[in-house]
Amino acid sequence: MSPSSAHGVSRRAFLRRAAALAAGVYAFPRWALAGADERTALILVWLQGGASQLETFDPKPGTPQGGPTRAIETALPGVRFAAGLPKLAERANRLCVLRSLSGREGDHRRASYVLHTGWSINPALDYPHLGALLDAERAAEGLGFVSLGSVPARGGFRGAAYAPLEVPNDRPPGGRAPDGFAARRELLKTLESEFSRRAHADAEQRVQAFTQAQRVLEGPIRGAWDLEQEPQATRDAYGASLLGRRLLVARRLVEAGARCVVVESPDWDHHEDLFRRHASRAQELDAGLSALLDDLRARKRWERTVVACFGEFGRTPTINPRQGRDHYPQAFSGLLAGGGLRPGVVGATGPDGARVVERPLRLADVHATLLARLGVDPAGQQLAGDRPLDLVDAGEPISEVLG
Amino acid sequence: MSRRAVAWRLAAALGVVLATHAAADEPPGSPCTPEEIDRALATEQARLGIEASGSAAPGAFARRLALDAWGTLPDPARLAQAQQGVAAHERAAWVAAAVADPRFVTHAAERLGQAWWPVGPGDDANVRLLREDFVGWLERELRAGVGLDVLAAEVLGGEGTTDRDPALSFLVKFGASGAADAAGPVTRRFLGLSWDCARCHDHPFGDATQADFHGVAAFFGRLRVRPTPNRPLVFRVSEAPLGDHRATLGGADGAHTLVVPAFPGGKRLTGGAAPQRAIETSRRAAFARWLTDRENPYFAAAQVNRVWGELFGRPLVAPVDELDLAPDDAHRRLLAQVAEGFARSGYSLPWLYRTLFSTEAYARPLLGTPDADERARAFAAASPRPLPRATRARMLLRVVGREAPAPGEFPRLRAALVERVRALFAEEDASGALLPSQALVQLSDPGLLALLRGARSHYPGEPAELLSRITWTAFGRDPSPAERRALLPALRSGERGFADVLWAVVSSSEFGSNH
Repeated sequence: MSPSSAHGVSRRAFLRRAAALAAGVYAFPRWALAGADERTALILVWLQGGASQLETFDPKPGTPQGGPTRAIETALPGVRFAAGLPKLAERANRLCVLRSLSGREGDHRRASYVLHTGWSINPALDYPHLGALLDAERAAEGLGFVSLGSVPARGGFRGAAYAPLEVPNDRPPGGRAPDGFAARRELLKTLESEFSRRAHADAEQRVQAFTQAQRVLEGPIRGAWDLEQEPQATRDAYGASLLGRRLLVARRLVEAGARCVVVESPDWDHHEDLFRRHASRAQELDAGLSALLDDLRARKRWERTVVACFGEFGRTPTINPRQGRDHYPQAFSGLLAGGGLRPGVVGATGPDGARVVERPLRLADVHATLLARLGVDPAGQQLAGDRPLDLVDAGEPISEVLG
Repeated sequence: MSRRAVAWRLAAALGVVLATHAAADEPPGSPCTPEEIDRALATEQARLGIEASGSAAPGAFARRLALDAWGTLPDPARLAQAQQGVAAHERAAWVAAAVADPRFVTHAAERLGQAWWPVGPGDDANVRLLREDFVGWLERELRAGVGLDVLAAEVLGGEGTTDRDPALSFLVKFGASGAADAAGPVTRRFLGLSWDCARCHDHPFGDATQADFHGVAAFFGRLRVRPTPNRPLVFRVSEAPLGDHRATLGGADGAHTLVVPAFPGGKRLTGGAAPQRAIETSRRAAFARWLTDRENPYFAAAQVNRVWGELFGRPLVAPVDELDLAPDDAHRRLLAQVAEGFARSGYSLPWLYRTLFSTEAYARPLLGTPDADERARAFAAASPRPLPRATRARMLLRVVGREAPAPGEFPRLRAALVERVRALFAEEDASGALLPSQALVQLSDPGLLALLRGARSHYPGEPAELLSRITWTAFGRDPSPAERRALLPALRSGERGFADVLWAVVSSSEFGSNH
């Protein structure tokens, strides 16, 4: 790991910033000129297990593939959602609905990795999570990346300094900030420096991690879990489900300074009994995500927060004998909202939902779009050791939503 | 023990006899001795122009060996020997003692359990209990001298109830939801093949096809896992006389077809040479025989490669679960050689650990030079390796003087203490880097601070002696001059300073590494 990449700023980004400073003007990439902002935050809602596109944002009622799922009209003329999402349907005119995603990975681990990093698993290279990449490229100070639940990738080759604060449950992480941390940190520094001398190891990483942890314990991040601070009506709107609570915490984290919050919503992998099991999950998503969209607007954070909602893949148009749907990366849907993105529908699948028939998109295109909107040039490069690599795996920003 | 298990054991015993007989006819020095391994590595190092870097200090070697063999720090007596210095030839006695110690089997079972059935983040209490029984069974069998081939066969091919045969719990966890769900973990953990993606499409850059994946899955098509009435957490694992695995091959347009069992790579091997009749009776048993056949190029290699990675910080062939994609280089050939020796030993884990512990390569020191990583890749120097969570927990308990239960300590309180200490190390990056969530816990957990303060009585003596005691216990070495300058004033400042020093020691990279 080269010093430049290990400490948060890629050589390219560093040079760009240095040149901008010298010129007295920041050298924004062309996407930034369209309204991107390095302070814009991202809330990525991960429908872990792979939600069915036919029961969410691309229903096919009246076809053998559609099953018993009904469709309802939305606030976007001519666009219908599954009937289990009435609140999101009412707010569809604020959503970018991507109906033409496709990928190659049908295994949870591999597909989740693509969703979170934009790259396929590479045995020789551990790619950073999108949140880590954002922190590294935007030279974040303090903890910018929080995961409510687990994530399939962390700091990758950008280093553990960019790994998320992972909080698996609803409790605020850590305990009371300890007294006398400065003295302990000095002792640890000595031990790390000595080990580094003998083992050619990174002498800074642990010291930095503890320093960052101390900041979290003393700062506003921990307060984000104190939902009692929210009015009862707000809590009711998000719902009492795990997803609802996590979405509310995510909003509070963004307000406390986090720049990327991953909200894991587990249990969307319905190989059997899908239509019953999906209903309760959809209800939680409908309530929680709608409340988040409303809340961000009410609190004037709509333009500065991008909300993304995706599973790692979709589900088969064919209903299996166990009344479930299996993994299907060939054609699935996702949502983007907020952050100045232009609402509407992008892409389409055929009548049976088996194929993308219009405007094929890959998750790498979603990554490029998010980077562009979040103030990072998606055409940029990063360093893996001394090796320059693209930030995005041949993805192009989705021009229809960037405006 | 089921009739089938008895049959496997007899067959395995016969295999060992035959292998021993065959080995007697081989020329001396044939695979696979520690010297042979060192020679192969030295040849490759010479080709690369890399010079091996001597041997680690006795304290470092004693610490490494204890951590790898027992999952805890070395005993004080061994450390005292190391402090006096030790001749290289005495290392052999240390290795023999380490493998003969009862703690070796306990730790080996723990590591094997983690390899075959890794703890999952979403495991509920029932799964954890089944897994505990499974690891307990591994330990009993290893202690009885059973080889890994027999264990694997019992895990994958057995029938019965999980209370009588906890080996079957593996299939309860990984096979109950369908044949295709079983194929991924089985190929990855027993064969070192990462074929999960071939469930839906041909491997993107390997040779494995969807047909290969589902061909393995079909061996588990007749597996039946049922709860037993009125017996909570007891499952019956059986093989149905009929039933086939069906899969959609060739993408969405492909037909949902019946898949016939097929050994990976289409190889039937000698042990599986009569598969058709066996398949008709027990497909899983046929697969288990194929898996553990001496001609199988993957099973022994996958197990050796895993243990090698555990001891050396990097596997001979990386990554451990893509053996089919590995180039035919010197390390791949050495892996095959050690795997052959492992098979000849009767798939004996003690043989494997003892052999690897006895190599010069295992005793290499860490290097602080810029080319350290390059030399470590060639096994000419040691790689710092992050230690498993359970090991870290035991080490911490040793350092604070709580490794053994206190007289009169309630077992439940003891278990709670161990669990709490383990939680301190729950999140660790594969590289050994400290993750933010773990840093938060280690920094603020009041239980840790109480343990550190309570350890003062275990470290008598004036500050300089105290510091030496701490560094020898935790690191297996004397404090450096810089450490003396920084840590001694803190130790002189009283109890708070002592706790601060101990916190820094147990939070350091060196404490969390096997060097």
